[in-house]
Amino acid sequence: MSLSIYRNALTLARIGVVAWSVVMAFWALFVVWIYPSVSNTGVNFEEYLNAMPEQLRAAIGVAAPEETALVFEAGAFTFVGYLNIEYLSWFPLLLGIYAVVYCGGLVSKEIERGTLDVVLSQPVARATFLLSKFAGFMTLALAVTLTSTAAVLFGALTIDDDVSAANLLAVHAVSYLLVAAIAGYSTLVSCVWLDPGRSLAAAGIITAVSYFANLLGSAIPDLSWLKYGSLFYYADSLQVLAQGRVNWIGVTVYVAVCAVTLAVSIAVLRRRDLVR
Amino acid sequence: MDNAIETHGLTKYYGKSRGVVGLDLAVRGGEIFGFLGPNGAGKTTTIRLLLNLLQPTSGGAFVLGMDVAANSLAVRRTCGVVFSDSAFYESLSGRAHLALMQSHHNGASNRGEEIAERLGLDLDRPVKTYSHGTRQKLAIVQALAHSPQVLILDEPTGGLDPLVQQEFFKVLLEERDRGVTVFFSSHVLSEVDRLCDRVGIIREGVLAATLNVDALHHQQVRRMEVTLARDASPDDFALEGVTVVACDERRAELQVAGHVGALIARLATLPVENLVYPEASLEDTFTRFYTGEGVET
Repeated sequence: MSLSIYRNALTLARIGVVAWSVVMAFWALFVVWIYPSVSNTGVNFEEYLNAMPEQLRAAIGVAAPEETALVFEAGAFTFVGYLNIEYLSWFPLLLGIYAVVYCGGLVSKEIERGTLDVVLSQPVARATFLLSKFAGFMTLALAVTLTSTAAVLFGALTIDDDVSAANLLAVHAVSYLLVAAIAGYSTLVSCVWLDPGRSLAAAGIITAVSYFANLLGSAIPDLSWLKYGSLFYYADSLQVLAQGRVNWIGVTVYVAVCAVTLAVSIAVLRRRDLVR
Repeated sequence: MDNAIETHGLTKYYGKSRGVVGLDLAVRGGEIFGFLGPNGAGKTTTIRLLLNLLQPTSGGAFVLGMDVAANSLAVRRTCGVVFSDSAFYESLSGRAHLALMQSHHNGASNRGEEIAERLGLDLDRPVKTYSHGTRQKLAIVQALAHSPQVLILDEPTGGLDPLVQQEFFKVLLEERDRGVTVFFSSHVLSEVDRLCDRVGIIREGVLAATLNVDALHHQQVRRMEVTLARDASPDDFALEGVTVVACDERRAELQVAGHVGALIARLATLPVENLVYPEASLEDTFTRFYTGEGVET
């Protein structure tokens, strides 16, 4: 790990990370602050949702009775149910897109710009370069995650609604690990295809396939096996937020995917010819 | 001093495309070694192999006795490198970029400021505002900042104005005097002629010749234009090493390879009215190595 490469990664992405943090914080606050209006409309959202096809309800995670009980109370949205549907279930996907964009070009963009030549003509090992930049991304993602957590907590305080700070932190922590897994395989494709166009496309496609595999697997019983192959399936933000039940198998999967893809990335990068 | 850079049968293919083939180089410690070749000859491939940015198909390379594949980090610790199209982190200032690169050379001296001042480089501006020439200055400063034992330069003078180029050459000669080995890749013959002790000529991935710059002069081809008081005939100039390029009434245009003594003796017997003998064009000499025509290695 090189501290100077790590610091440089943070410096170069500082504007981007501030923008992501601000957007996520505003979105979180917007969702939280309109909750009182939504809950006071008198509309029976549960009935409205029940009128939808079961597959669609399953896709958005409110098909099973135990899920419905967490999301609705007397026909109205509970705060945690609403927060999960409108914000927290989207959070890992959006931060995942940041991971795809950043880590999908982690090596390939540096090659395209020619900066990798300059760095690797110094006494810097390829693994050191890769891990330092990856650590830089994980720090940036942590900053966005903590900003989001703080924004939701602050918003909940201002509307006097009850949400467990520990559970909220746990949801964000699980999302962060999911993003680490996405960042891991995005880094790997960046080492496999040293062309940024291809590597970004590949990382994006893998993420999209994984996301839709979870949706389809949840919606269509015959394809339920699909969801087990999706990283998004293991996040289960509703259970974590409402009941503090973290899926530890999921956590293990995320950590394993991140560790394995990083190890393979290093092995691949070590063997590659670096040609602009 | 032993050889600072050696390659043994160094070969690199990119799939079926040829990079370099069976390259046997020996660059002596403390010399400035010119590495000449046209675009696509394999100069940059050789440099990337020396820096372990490429893995050889076969053969090996050694810098200061260290195998570049097995001791890659140690090799790069001893080297300063300038690429022909050096890239930088655009939003950093020159100074920040220099500090970033220097941070990888723990404990090494930092002559960045000194060299930057000599080359007239403003380190406080962001790199994105630098012209091509200024970027090249930054690349040179970065290569020299940690006082490397070996300098590997890939067409380093691109974009430099003549005054800066002159100062840069002065710096390189000083480095050589301090015992630094300089591997200077170029396709500009005049700068190699001016700067280098020895020259390796690479053609289509193969080392065509290695020779002293003096020997390069001996192999040079010069043009001569002779006007006689009578009509000239190609037979007037029928000598070894002399080619009659054109013969038009009283005027003859000749190409002279090697020593000119025999030709001068012949001219003394002819009614010469005018003689034009411009300075040697190294390009002409160089072309012989490229075409492989009449080259002594």
